[in-house]
Amino acid sequence: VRLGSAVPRHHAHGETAPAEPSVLRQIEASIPALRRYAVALLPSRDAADDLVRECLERALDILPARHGETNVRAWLFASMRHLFVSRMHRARAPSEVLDAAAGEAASRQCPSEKDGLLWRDLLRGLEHLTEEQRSAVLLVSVEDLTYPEAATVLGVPARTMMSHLARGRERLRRFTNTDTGPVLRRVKWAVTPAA
Amino acid sequence: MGSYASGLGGELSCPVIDEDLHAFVDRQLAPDRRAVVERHLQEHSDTARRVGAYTAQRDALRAALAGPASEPIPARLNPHLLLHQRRSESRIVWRMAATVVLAIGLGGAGGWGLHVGYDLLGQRHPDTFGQQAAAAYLTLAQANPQPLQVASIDGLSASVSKALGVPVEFHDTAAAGFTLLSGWVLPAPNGQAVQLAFRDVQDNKVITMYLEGRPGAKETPFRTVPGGGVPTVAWDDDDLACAISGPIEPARLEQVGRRIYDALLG
Repeated sequence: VRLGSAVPRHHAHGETAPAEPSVLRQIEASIPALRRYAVALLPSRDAADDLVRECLERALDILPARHGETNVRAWLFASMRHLFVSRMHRARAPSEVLDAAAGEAASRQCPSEKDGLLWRDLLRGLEHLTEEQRSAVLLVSVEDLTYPEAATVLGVPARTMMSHLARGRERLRRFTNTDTGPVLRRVKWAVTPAA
Repeated sequence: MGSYASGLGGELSCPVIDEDLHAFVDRQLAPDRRAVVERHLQEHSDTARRVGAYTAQRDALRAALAGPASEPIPARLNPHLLLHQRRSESRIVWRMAATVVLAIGLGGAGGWGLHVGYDLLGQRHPDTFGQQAAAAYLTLAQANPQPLQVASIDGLSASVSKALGVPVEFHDTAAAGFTLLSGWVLPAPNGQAVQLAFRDVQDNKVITMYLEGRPGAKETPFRTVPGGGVPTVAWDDDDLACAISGPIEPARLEQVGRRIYDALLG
């Protein structure tokens, strides 16, 4: 997985290169997972689907020309994360919106009340992780990426990815752990680049 | 899914470390190593509780996020339709490109040996833009930054909008820790570029932002510009090409760039 930005499109013949059916199939098969990852990154479903769409447009421009790309799914995750990170300055959302999204996500599933509360705390907790921690937790826990794949998507060494994963999980645990008393009070939080 | 064994040397007798516990939760351990961890957990109830919490967290996250992945895919995300649209677009672009000059070389500008290349669409290659930004930084580094001559931030917005041919609305960056020192309008291949110099109050370093109007440009990821002579990170935003240059390592430069950009244009 190598993510160039602004990779030149293939205009030499006036058209994008023909997509190999297998690549297109792999892209298509990854869309549900991309939407899920996007929903966990962005406050609204529309914004999430916008991100997915942009990722798909890029993939359709770039991937067909990269015949050697064997891990289309990891490439897509990396590409979408890159898009997300590069515009976090745009994606800042009031916590209230994220709260609403968390509540909506939880209620949509019609879980038991206990599960619903746990899910809401978890999704809220995700907001309190750094982007790297959040992505590590999501890609590994939810998207079943292997550790080397997740490290590639994050663009960091495996050790660093493990550290993001470990810290993310531990931090998230504090939002749902009833052993340690009440759930941490939410602090005002805005998307700021990790310093 | 591969088994995770890196850092463990494959030795079964290695002490169980944190990475083992996560790999256990994620089922990324080789079977024999898994057995070692299971034994360890039987003997260490605190660790077992923590691993249990991580496993429950993993399951709950998967359940909480199951919805978006199981819903029908809307038409606007249908890759077949998207592909069809993109092919139609690129045919139109090709016709326009036929009227565009194929290649223009500008050698040795400013002593940095800049070579401005155009592709068939008349777009400069992205790194050329970035290298110009780097060159502009180095030009500035040899001068002594003087206080800004514009009366207000609104005045600056107006001047820059005019120079770039693209409306921009700037905000004060002082609260974000960057003092605006000065600004210049510079000649650029497609018109004019604007260079703004900031002082990072934390470490007193001068950071420059280099902007060109680029109508129709869409947001791109950050890219590190190689060979510019000074660390430079460039990206496109809506109708703007942007670059940040400064004597700090690229990873941090990207963060600084984001903070400045946020404060200035957010």
